[in-house]
Amino acid sequence: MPLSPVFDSLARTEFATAINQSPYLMGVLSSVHLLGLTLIVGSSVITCLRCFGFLVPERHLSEVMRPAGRAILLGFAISLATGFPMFAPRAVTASVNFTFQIKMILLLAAVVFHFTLYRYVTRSGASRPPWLRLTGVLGVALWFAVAFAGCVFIVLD
Amino acid sequence: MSFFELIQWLEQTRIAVLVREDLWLFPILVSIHILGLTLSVGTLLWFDLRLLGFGIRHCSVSGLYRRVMPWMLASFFVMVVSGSMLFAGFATSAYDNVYFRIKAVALVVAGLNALIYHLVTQQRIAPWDQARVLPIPARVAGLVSIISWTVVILAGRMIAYTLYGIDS
Repeated sequence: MPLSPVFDSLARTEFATAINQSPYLMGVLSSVHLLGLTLIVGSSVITCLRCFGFLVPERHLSEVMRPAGRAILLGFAISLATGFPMFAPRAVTASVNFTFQIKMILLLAAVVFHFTLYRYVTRSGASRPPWLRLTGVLGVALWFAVAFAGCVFIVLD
Repeated sequence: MSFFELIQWLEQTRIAVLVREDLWLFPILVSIHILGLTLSVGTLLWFDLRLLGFGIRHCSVSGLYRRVMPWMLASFFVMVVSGSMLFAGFATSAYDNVYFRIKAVALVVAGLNALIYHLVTQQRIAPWDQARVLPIPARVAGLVSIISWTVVILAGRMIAYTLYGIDS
């Protein structure tokens, strides 16, 4: 099913028009979006430090990865709640933008990673070092890549 | 030389002109600045949460500090360098911008808070280094840090939407 009519309709909604006409509102949304991203990036670094054994290695993995995982989900919820209203007014142009498409693919990969490997390692807590380190590195790499693609999209848009 | 004359001079330096006129330098600097900020403040947040008694409560305060600070300081350096270059490029416009002033005040508050923590609060860390609930000065330092850096992020992003007088 082609999505362009959906994006076109979305961009024409009153909701999207109201956001588009208020640069201040767009600024507030973008600011809070960045807060969410900050929470995600910081938490993924904390996770990575624990996965490499640099942070409380004597304690169970879940004691770091569970609160960090919750913070990542909270950051994701904030980013999603603010990202969608920013996307709505420019749904047509953003959806065909190569950088934005890359960001969405990376975001999907990061979310899949979080609900599979990250969750598995947090729950099992007994993964061997290579898997642990892979989880730590993948988390930082994926979320950082999402942030980087977002930056490129902002500055080139 | 007044402060305004100083920033006028700054805006005319070679690097400032390059920031304004080069097609790629500005977007690259903005990207680096934002990424540095997410890494710096994002990792610092976990230390602040520990001071408040949340997050990784099983780790000693000094242990968490040792692990988090290299990331925080390295990215903070990147953020300061890229931010200074961006400021130089648009110094006079930024000077008049209310959000830039809010950001500058929040940065000063964050800096003073860190200074007081290191020079005063941290000097008596031994009795509460392992404790889950920390003394009030440590908790205040964590709270002030979270609030001031949140204001830095919010006001900093608003600058991009208001620097050129979006009302006009």
